[in-house]
Amino acid sequence: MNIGDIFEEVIKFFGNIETDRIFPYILGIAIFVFSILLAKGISVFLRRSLKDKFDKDSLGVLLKVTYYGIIVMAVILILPIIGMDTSGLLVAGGITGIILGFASQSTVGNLISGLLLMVERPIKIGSKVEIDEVRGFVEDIGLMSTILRNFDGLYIRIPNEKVFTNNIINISANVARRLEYTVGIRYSDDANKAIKIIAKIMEDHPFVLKNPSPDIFVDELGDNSVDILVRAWTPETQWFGTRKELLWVIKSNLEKEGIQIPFPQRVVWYGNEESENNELN
Amino acid sequence: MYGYYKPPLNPLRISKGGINLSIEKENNYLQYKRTCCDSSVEKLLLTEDCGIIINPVEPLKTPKDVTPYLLIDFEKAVFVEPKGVSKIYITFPVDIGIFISGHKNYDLLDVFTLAMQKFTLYGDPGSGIICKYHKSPIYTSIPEEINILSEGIMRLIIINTTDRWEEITKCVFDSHGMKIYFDEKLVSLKANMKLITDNIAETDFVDSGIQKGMKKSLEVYTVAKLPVTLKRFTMEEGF
Repeated sequence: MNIGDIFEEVIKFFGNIETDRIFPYILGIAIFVFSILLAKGISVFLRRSLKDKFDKDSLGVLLKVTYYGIIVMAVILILPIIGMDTSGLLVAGGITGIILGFASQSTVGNLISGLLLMVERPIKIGSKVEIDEVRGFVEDIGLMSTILRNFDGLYIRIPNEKVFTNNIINISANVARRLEYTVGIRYSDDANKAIKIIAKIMEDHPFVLKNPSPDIFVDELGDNSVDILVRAWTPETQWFGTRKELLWVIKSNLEKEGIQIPFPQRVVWYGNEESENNELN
Repeated sequence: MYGYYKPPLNPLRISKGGINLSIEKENNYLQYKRTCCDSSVEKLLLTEDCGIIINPVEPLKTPKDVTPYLLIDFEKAVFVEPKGVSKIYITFPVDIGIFISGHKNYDLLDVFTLAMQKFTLYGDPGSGIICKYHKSPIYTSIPEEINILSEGIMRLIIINTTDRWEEITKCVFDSHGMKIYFDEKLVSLKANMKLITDNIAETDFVDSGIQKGMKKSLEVYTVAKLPVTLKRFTMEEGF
């Protein structure tokens, strides 16, 4: 048998095969192989581009969902090609999807919110935040929920949907934070002198920032006092310590200089009576 | 005050510039006491004897370790000619580091300061940085009247790479790369400031003293075993 004979035999063999029946299977296998390669490629791409934005566990879950999702979609695409009727499957899948959708509405909401939080990153682990009137440190950001440790040391789990849809105040996002006091003095006291005393306290305190400089001024002539507003910037990490320390120092130093912080008072005048003491102190 | 105090230390007593420091025997061990600026520290050293190194260190740890950056505000503005290279001397704050040494090793025992403590913001609250603040006069030669326990002298070379006259009112450094040298009369530092555009400058330190024969200080961040190399800082919020 020479080469020409072998060639003829091969042609004869393939000629006997019904190519119309074989081709869909070949196409199906090709699509399946291609979908695996595509899923792997997309997984690698996602791993590289999202590794800084997601923690390791969450990224692992996301990659697996993407990988198997693409393969499942490919299988659904292949089934009608190889002659299997998927209309029943689709109807059943659709009904199941609706039931599951209703049942897992909040779960899916939390999951999607978790993914969006990881991409947007308004908060980080360790951030000091206020979410839905809960203040604390972020301990963990999971796919379904965010864990806070509040200032009392309590463990608080907030569903991600709530985190995403509520206002988030990230207290530690910026390096500097302003503190504010209103200090009331008597009408008989010298407001300029009080401002100078407070300015000196601000100047001497290490954590009251030199720049932006403190702002101290008479803000309001109140019912019972002249209100001096004190605004000063501190490093965010030192804000609370500085805030709790300064107010008492201001009060003590003002009193040392004879400036009093008045109590609320009311002068009552009787109709036919003339008071000799008609000055508020 | 600065230098190496060899063992045997018992007793070591130093009183200078409002600082009172002592190391005395307590049974078989040593008791370290330091008072300065209304604060006092006592530590028990579980060793029969050790060496003590006292030298100026980077102003990073006092009153709290808040930032590694140091902003020096010039008392008067400096104008630098286009493409000019100028040399000025300014002061910088120092902390005093007490290191314990022995068994071919050393570690930071205590750190305190006589320098004024103040912080400031460089840039805006969102993207800026918190810096230790120091206000310095400008000198054209090495000044003599300096308290070496609270301040050092920095020789600052200003390199203007732009084609314009530039006004400088401040400079910012990353203190991690500070290389402080000292002797009995002077604490010193060499630094460069390169003006790149009208608003951007780059600062770094040079690893040598401004006079011959000065000793190099032990650094706080070397002790902390951080990989510190000579660091550059880019001032992007103006100078």
